[in-house]
Amino acid sequence: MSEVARFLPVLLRGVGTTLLLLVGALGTGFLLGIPVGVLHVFAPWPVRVFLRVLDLVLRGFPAIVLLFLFYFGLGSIEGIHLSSLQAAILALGLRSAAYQGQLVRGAIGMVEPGQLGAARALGMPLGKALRLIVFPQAIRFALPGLANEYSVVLKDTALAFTVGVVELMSRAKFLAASTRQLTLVYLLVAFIYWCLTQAGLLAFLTAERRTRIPGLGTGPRRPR
Amino acid sequence: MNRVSNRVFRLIAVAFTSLGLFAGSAAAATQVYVDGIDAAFPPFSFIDQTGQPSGFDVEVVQWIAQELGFEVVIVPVDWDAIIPTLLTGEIDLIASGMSITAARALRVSFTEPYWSVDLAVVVQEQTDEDGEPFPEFNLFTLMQAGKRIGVQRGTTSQTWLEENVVASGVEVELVLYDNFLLALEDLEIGRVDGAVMDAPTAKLSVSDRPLTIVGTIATGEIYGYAVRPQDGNLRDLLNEGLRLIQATDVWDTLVEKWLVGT
Repeated sequence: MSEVARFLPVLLRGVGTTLLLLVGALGTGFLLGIPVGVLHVFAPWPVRVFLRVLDLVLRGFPAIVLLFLFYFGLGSIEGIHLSSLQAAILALGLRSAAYQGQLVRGAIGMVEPGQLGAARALGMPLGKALRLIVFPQAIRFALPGLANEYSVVLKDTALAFTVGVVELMSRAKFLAASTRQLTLVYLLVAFIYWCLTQAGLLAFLTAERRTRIPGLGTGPRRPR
Repeated sequence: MNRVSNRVFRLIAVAFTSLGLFAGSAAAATQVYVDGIDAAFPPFSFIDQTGQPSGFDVEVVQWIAQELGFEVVIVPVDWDAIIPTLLTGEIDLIASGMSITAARALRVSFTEPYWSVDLAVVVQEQTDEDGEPFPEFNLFTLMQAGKRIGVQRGTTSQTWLEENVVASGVEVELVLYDNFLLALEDLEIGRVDGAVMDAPTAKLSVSDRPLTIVGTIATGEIYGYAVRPQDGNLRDLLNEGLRLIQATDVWDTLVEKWLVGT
């Protein structure tokens, strides 16, 4: 037990960086994912083809390959200087944008198409109709998927040390190396990741409950 | 030259001058160098249990920095990626028990050597009926076809085995790890038959495990600090620092603290 008390504070020091990576990557993914999702559905075909190609790269390569490409590939270009943290946030963020874009695309598809048609028929411009009619429903449909994306990106941050970001997982590696108590250290680190995952999922579940509209969406329905 | 382009030209000139002034004032402040280490390579470089960088190389570089008036920031880097990380400029030097090899010298510039090591071969230690410990394999029974030998990826241990054992037709199977401690862990579990690593690290790590060193391979490799080839100034600075510290008692104290008995 004394070892747990000794190891935990050292590991917890890595949590800040892990959260920074997570918030950076999820945030980038969310900000880009929404327009990407909308463009997937509504953009003219050359834009859609372009997005599709980008999507194939970002969703088709393993996260670790993207990390190396952004850190060493971009980093070797004259005039671009990316720190480990910036490269990792960019790589994981753009990757997440591709996944979140697909989530948004799917969620838009779930909104009854007649609603958009009706809004347009009443004279609403497309942008306004999307913003006021489609988007508020789509984001509710997307919430369970976004929660999933949160828990996946959280675990992807454990790869960031391959480009030198000292986050939770690398703290565990160092501690395991200097104490040689691999099992205990990795059990502790698993517990910390579990707590972070549960906390985030709980937040998403709460958001889902709070924003639920009776009769709409994927929330649990009791049989009558 | 018309008036507009003249004005633009003057603006650019002013911009460059102010940039120059800025660079000048930055150079007057303490120079900061970033030192990348393999954080799982005791006794030369590691992160201790309180989360601080520690080890022989860490203390040597910190002493040199203080003595020669520059600042050093120590960051852990994955060993696999440590040379590319140096070349992209994220770190300025590698002071982490790095053997000077011809292949590495093509990409980085090394200081003068400061330490010399051999490779050690580690196997499981077993006990006979009388409770006497004996090694499971010796050097000759280990280096045979079908045996699995663990090494840290991207190390001279890997290169030595590839060039001297595998290349000569003995089909040992090399099992590559992120760091040598994982190789030892697997050796203890029994998933590999032996492991090869730098001797000081091996000696430090087998003491409290049912493992034993059955022999050393006298490669006599030498450690040096690495910088980018174009950073001659930093290399000269480190060389001067190494000369200074080796002339003091501090060197002997550090050697005794970290390396004696290894």
